[in-house]
Amino acid sequence: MNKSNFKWSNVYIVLMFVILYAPIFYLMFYSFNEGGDMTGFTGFTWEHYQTLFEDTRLITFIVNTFIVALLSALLATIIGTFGAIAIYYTRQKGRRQTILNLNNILMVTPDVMMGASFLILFSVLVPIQLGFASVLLAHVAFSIPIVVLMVLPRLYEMNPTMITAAQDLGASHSQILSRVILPSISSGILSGFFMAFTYSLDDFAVTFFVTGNGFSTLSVEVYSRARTGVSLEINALSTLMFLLALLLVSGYYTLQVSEQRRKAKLQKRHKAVLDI
Amino acid sequence: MSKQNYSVVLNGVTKSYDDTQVLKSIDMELEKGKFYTLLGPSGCGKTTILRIIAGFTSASSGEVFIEGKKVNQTPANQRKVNTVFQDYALFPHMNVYDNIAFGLSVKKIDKQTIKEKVTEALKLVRLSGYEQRDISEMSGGQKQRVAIARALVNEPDVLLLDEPLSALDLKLRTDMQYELRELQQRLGITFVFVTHDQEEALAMSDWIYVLKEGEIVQSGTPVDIYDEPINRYVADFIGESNIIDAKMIEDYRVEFVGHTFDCEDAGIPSGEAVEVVIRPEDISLTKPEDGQLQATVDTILFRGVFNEIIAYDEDNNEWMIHTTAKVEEGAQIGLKFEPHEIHVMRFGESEEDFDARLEQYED
Amino acid sequence: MNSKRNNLLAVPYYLWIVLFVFAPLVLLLYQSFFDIQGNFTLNNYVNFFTSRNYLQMTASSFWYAFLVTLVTFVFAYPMAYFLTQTKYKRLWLMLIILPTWINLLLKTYAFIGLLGQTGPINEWLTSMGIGPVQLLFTDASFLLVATYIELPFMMLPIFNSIDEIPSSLMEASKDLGATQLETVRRVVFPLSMRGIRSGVQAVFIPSLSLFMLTRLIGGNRVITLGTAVEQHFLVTQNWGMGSTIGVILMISMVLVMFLTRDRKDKGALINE
Repeated sequence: MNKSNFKWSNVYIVLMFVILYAPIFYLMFYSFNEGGDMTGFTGFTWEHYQTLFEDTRLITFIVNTFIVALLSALLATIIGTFGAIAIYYTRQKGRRQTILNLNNILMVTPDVMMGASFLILFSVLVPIQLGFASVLLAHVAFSIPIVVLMVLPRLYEMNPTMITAAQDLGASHSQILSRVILPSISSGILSGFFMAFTYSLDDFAVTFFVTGNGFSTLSVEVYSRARTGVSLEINALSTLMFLLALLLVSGYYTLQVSEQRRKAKLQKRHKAVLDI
Repeated sequence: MSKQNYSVVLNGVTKSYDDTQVLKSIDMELEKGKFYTLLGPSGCGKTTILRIIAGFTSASSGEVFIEGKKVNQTPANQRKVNTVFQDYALFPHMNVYDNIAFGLSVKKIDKQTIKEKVTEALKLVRLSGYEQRDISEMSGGQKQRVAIARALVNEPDVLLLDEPLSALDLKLRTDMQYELRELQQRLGITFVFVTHDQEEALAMSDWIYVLKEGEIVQSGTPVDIYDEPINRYVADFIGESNIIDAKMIEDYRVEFVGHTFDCEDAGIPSGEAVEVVIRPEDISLTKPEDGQLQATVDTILFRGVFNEIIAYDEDNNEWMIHTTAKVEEGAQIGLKFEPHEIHVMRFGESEEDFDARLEQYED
Repeated sequence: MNSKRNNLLAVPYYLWIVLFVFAPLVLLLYQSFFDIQGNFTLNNYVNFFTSRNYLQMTASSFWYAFLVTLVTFVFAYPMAYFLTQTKYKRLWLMLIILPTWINLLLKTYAFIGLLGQTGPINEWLTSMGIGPVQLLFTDASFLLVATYIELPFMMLPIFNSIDEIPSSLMEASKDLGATQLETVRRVVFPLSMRGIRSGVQAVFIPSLSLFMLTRLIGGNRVITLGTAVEQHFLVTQNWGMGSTIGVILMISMVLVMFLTRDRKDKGALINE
């Protein structure tokens, strides 16, 4: 067992983590700064958090961002799931491959291009005003491919004889859908929803193009404020978002670990039964 | 005997993961040039022993010697030991030639020598001409042989095989058993073979270690273990057996099912409760009145080579008999067996005591 | 199994494909043939390919994207490999992905502070006697921030492909006498090609079109195709030219995808 090798790889990992988190901790550190900027820590204060909670404009944008994210993720998940099922059932290989390629185009399109092309779309073809509606539609649009990509593998992993068995037992089509297919791909659907939510929350470029004048999301707002200089309110916001993300990650991780433990217990129980 | 003369020596080797102890205390001395098998059910620790010899895991305590040298601190890539993995572990991005040549190229051996050795190795496993083949194009049996060639070409002191035949179908498996045994004898290398298949172990080995839950329960030649299992576990695991509760009357006489029988075991205190093992093929069927025991036939299964008959005696003990004789279900039969076919097992006897007792009382 | 129900439910999806995949691309292409007054013209393309400015910009876009991809790869590969050897790899993986959930803008904003004239790095440099250095609005800072942001996206696919390699292969390599380094070079690296390709795709293509980053960190020193697109669409309102550049970007993207496509690899892992 290479003991010396061990150490170097750990050093590298630790170093990388330090670099990865340095900017974030830097932000968090200065969110408590008395002085108005990030040049010197003059004293501890909660004032920026206060300003943040009083900044109704920013709060509105944050709420907007979350609403858009939730709604678009929901819609994208529904549309994408049924799209994935349709792809799964497509018989001809050529047709299936074409649809998949079309699906993936948006995944690899640079967001600038998406933003620009959606802008053209909204002005020429789909007559919506630039604002909440356009942003929502745009977010749904770029989230659908990722939902498909998360659900499709689960469909392929699914045992097809389950469906035959359900038919044999007399299930109708909608029953098969709701009671056999959807439950077995539920992990894919959930992952898809989660990814769509993340994409939407994080998006900047596409939103930037289609947002028009009144509506704004977090990313776009921070961009305009950052161009004019530093505001520690943003630091406060970053700290809160980081804590939120940390919470989500630990929640997700504990969920995974408990899921693994549950599966291991189940296996043990099954083994015990079979050994008799 | 000094450690020099042994290929592999394990001294008090234990292994624990967190709070589970996987190996309790293993002592082994493997001579050069013999075929050893580690036999046991899954989870008994046999693969762990192999991995400790190979160097993929380190022992929690105890010493490991290879060719007389203590190797506890030596990493796997420096040991003169090679492994044939259960999933073959062939490199999918290399062809057959490069796979086999890998170990040699790592040692920076020149191309010409590599070519000679690889060609020879392929000949050894009867795959000459397959140099350029893609791994993905090969069948299970072929991949197996490539894996063996890849290991052997490095001329290791010891070859470790981790259930290499478990993924093959029956016919191929039996063929490979012959090939492996023949290979080992031809090359004279120490083989350490891990399996849960007792037939395989009996067929190929010079010496078997039977393992249970991290301990060696019995070790010996296939014949010894088959004829004289030390306890119920070994008797059950190896071959089919009839195990009946009995009582030792005196040396060479034992009582079960209400009858006294001559046997060839001694050194057991009179009156001690023991178990008796009789192999199904050792029992002959006669007319009830000519048999040492009487039983009623319950089921008959045709096994091709023999009939497998399940019968119950007056105490409701189940007897399994392998015979070519024909009987009817429900018939009364007599069971006959020779004294040397009765083997007595004491409860909780250690291997040392067992060996000592056998040496003293058997000739 | 067909069923009209199925097809009915899939209608929104197909509609989406038509409206949001087909249409925008077609419209983009269409728009590229119009000038700022709305007349049909090929001038946009002519301008692009004859203007020294645009060609230089394209070249520098590719160059920056290439640099970012390279640097990201150099740092991400060892990280991914070491992570697969650790005990709690799923946990570390989550911790690496965690920063990607912090809004992109916020991270960029952090760097504005970090790299500023009066920021901590410059402070430290001043105390060392090297004096405040212009860090923001340089090529170097742009590369740094871009790499920082893209790192997890290069690391993740590489991690996944290394993780998929059966551990018995790496053990076999050691068993045959290879050191850890040789094992990485001869076994791990070739078998992780698929992940490397995904990673390159995931980093190179977005890097081509970064515009927010260029504005905030690179200032006017760094101009990519992305900035040009944004400029034309949102500032000068020359949608025609913007679309033209867009088309060029799309074609470049297709080219990159083609070059890094998944060929039928021998390195593809077969299930035994």
